[in-house]
Amino acid sequence: MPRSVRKGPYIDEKLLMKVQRMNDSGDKSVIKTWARASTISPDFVGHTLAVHNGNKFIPVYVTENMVGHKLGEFATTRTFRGHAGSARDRRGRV
Amino acid sequence: MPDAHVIVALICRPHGIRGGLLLDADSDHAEALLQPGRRLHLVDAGWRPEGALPPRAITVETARPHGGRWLVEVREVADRTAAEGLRGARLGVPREELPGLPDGGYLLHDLIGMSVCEGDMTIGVIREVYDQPGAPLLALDVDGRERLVPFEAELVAELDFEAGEVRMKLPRGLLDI
Repeated sequence: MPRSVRKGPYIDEKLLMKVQRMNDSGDKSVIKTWARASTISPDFVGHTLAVHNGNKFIPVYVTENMVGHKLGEFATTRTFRGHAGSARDRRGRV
Repeated sequence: MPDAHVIVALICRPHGIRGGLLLDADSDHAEALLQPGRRLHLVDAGWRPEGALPPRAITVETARPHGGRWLVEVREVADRTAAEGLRGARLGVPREELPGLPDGGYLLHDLIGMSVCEGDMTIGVIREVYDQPGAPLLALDVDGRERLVPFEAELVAELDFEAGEVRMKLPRGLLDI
């Protein structure tokens, strides 16, 4: 069952406060967090969060597409898969 | 595995009793790479039945999409026991057999061995590229320790394949986590 709309999204309060403080000061340093269940707020965009996967911290650079998802979705808990054979386009920078 | 091979798929598990294999394709061109008759080279096969030697390469006989993965039958594997032996193995193809890339395109595989620099300082060498839900992660060898760096357009200043360098603007504290 999805979370009640009345409650709004769950965003880890301490993490949000840290991000807002950094937004005010223009700081973009990495924040370590264990709050995998926290929803990604638009305030997080452009920050790099080190999300714990139960073993180590996985750096996640937050982009606009990630807003509304949970942090844990971007820090997998299982063994990494190998390097990809998939292609990247260099017409942009990456 | 020779460097010329690029990993294109992972064997997840056997399927059925006639040697079917369920593959997790790791390529944008899975359909072209799994055409009947295609030879795929085996890399680091996992557990094997006692005494059984796995083939070095497999030849695709049939392939079809199956629940987000690919169900493949191969000439060298005729039963489930043999298929069990290939669980966890990765499949590679020679670089020259890959479909052509669009103009200016590159493979994540190409980044392996390149140096990551910030300003005038070399941070480390890319040992592996992990495919992650958000952005690929570069695993750097920094003084013998692994450091993870998201390969995100906003953090990459320049990719110089001729010099073998990726110039990045890393956020403060990324290499200390």
